Amino acid sequence: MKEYIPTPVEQQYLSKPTYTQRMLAFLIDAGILGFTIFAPFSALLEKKVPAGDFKTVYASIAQQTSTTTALSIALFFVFFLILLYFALCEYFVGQTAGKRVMHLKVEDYYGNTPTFMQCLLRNVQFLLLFPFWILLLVEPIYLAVTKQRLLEHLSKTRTVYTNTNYMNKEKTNTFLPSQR
Amino acid sequence: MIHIPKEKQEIEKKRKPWLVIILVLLFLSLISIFIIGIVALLVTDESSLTTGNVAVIPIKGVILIDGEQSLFSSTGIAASNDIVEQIKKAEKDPMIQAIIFDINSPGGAPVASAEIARAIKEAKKPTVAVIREVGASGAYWAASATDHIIANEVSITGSIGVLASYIEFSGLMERYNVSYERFVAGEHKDMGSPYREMTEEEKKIYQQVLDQMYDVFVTAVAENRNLDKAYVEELATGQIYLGLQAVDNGLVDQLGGKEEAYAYLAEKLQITVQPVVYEKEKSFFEMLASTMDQTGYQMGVGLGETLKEEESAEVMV
Repeated sequence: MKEYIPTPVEQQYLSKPTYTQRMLAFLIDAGILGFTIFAPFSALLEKKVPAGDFKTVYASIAQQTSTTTALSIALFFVFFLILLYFALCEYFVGQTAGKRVMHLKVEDYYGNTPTFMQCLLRNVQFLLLFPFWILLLVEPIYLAVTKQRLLEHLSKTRTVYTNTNYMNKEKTNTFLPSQR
Repeated sequence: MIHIPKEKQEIEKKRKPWLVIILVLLFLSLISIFIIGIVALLVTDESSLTTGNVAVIPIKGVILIDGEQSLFSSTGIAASNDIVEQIKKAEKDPMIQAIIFDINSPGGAPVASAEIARAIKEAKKPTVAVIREVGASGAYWAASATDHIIANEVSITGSIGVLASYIEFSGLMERYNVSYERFVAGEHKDMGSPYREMTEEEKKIYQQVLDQMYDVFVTAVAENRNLDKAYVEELATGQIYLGLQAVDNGLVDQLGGKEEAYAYLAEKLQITVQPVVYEKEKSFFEMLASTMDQTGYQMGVGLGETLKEEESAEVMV
């Protein structure tokens, strides 16, 4: 079998996932995290913050600053764990659960699994510290415009679509010109 | 077809991606539960975010201006700076309709007590003082500024007076042939120095100062409680009064505790009382100092008990 090695340009163009695929992957991950890492914090919030309209809740928060501070610190740690989830999964496997379902994979510019620092850097928007949390707003817009996240540029990584299953089936890629 | 080397396929198979993802999720979830558990323990039920309409401001411990604590001590201090700040905060909060002062203090510094009393007097919202074990001297001065005072039957209150004392070492120094060399510009500059005896003139001056402070205290109580100043002077011998006596002599309005305070406010304001505690946030340093203080105290108690048992055993033998 003659081995076809796509050029870097081809590889980059052909294996780029769509915005919808990436959003779906993120939503799947968000759903999983909501039931796992975020769940204890949700339970704590339900217990400690009274139900009511915005004015009632705001007044409660203004009155009990010590509780609010404790909840803020807890939220920071929870988001740090979310950052670790993305970083560790992408480091060990190159994929999170959502990415695996959507057949997406994270790799560096040479096609290898990125280093841990690269994985941390590309997910640093989950750190609830200024200015990192601003990226939570910036990233979706940047992705929609340039087809790559800003932090992916900075960490020299990319997310690619891979229609391969390393476990059992022979790998195929139907996007290459030779197969059309 | 992209050919992926067999070695890489083998590595990928061995890695079992789903297993890794699940293990990572599990591990991080356990850490999340642990962290939230600790936070939930630190945030007690009393400090849950609730919409309160009655602020409860504690005045506990010796009344001083500042409440700075060292690493190894967290002796209870009711800092007037903090209490006045909480009073102003409660005044500004539109949800708060009244303020209860939860008092358990033997009194303290005169300026700090006067500052608290003044802040209470200037508060426009209804105020109630609830005296617990002790509400004496400066603490009573603050309580007298409220609209309504409630004390337990056996609460200790009163002690209207001024105390000043110091230990004078001149006799001891003389015994050991230690002299005190005095250089002053201003004859009474070292008045109250522990290294020499006070002169009669200085004693008179000091007593005048105390008398003036006493007069201010008595006048404030008389005004706050709408009592005749001469009558208050008769009570103000520095004597303590139990709650029962204080009700009879007009220093306290009602016997009871917090529940009676809530009932009083509910009737007066026609509201369902929802108390919320207003106090200065404890920093991590202060919580640590409190823990160390408690630990040190308990160790001391344990050691003392052990020594006491050994001593008793010797005596018995």
